[in-house]
Amino acid sequence: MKRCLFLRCKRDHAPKIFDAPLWAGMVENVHQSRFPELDLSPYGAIIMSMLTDQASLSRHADKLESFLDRGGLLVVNGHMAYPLLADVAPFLPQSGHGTDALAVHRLADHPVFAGVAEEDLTFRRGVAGFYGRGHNPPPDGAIALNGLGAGKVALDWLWRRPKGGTVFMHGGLDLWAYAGDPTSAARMAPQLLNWLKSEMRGETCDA
Amino acid sequence: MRKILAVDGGTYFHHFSYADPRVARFIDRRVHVGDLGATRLDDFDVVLLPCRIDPDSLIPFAGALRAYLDGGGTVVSLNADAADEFLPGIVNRSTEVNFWWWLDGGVDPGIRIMRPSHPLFAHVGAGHVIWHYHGVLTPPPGAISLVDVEGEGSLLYIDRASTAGRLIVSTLDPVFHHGSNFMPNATHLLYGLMEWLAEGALGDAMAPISADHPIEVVRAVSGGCCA
Repeated sequence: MKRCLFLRCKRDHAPKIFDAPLWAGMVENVHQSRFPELDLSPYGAIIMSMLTDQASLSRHADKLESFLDRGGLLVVNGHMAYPLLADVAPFLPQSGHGTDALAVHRLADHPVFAGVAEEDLTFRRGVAGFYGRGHNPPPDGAIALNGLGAGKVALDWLWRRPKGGTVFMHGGLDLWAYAGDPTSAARMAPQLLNWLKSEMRGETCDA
Repeated sequence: MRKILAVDGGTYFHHFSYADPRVARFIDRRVHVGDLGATRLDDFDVVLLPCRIDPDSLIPFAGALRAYLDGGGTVVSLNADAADEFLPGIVNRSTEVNFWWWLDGGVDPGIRIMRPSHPLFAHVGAGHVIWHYHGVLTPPPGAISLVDVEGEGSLLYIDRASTAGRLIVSTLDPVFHHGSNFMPNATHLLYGLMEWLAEGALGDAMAPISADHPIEVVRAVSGGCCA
């Protein structure tokens, strides 16, 4: 099975769960500064953190695109500020204020969010806004998974690219930041790793 | 107006903070950390290092930053994480992050303005340094702490003792929060800090040690922390 590449943004950056026995050896941590010379052929998936140096990585957008063209899977966290991916527009901050503007709504089922309650994404200890503060507008053909605010703009989406490859977008705080939450939001990190595992084995289970 | 060099780690929040016109108008030049080696620090009055930049990207510039400080320059590091590896005199202790203290109006987070008369506070409201924090600093001898967590350490200090220049260090992370569209206090602090660095009095006349200055107990600005 191919491995998953976590583009580490600083030392000790990889979440502990990436090394948990269930997924032992599946995720390899490499500092993102090594991306330009890295051979991507051993990897079936790439995970990007919200801390990514997008300015530097965007200079190698063609390498990311060809990884996807070859059938790779890319998981993105954070706000898009630089042209990392063709067809993905820059981040739009959420308009409006208060809880209504920051409420998370499930728009389509996906294994990463199975059993994750909307309110556990909207609120942490009653406070709204940790999960997302806007969205990266999806390309045509993407499936919106979670929407934000009254307009249910696509905060999380899945895009099976016509040219091959898949983009899983979460336009906010790193999904694994919830791994220690005492709520159903903690399910996201292990379910992300399980989903990546099945995707890399060729078992598509979101359709 | 002082010339400010804003170092950029290439993240989305560095970009969105620096691109905000209310911040950008104070920035003379913005440089990606990867291009810092080709930049003459001495051409600038202030070098700003943002929060949540990869500290390993700054270690190669430890010598250049030290020489710039020794020459009288001003370095502002909003990143304290591993900053002892590229800046002098920094002792940072990570603390458990309490995102929630302000939910209980009766809780005193212990944050104190140590020098209310410092000119920084002509630009930054006392309540604007209050949200969660990720660590506390032990200022080196002769440095002036402007914001403390009582009994814990400093959240923001100015060190004019370790070098001939000014080293301003904070564990608050306003660039991250403002650039993430998250937290009004962080926005106020960033705007005020930039205005102060560009146009304000830097408070050099203040003695490093003064036993008789008043300490201001501050409370959170209502609604200032989160949504």
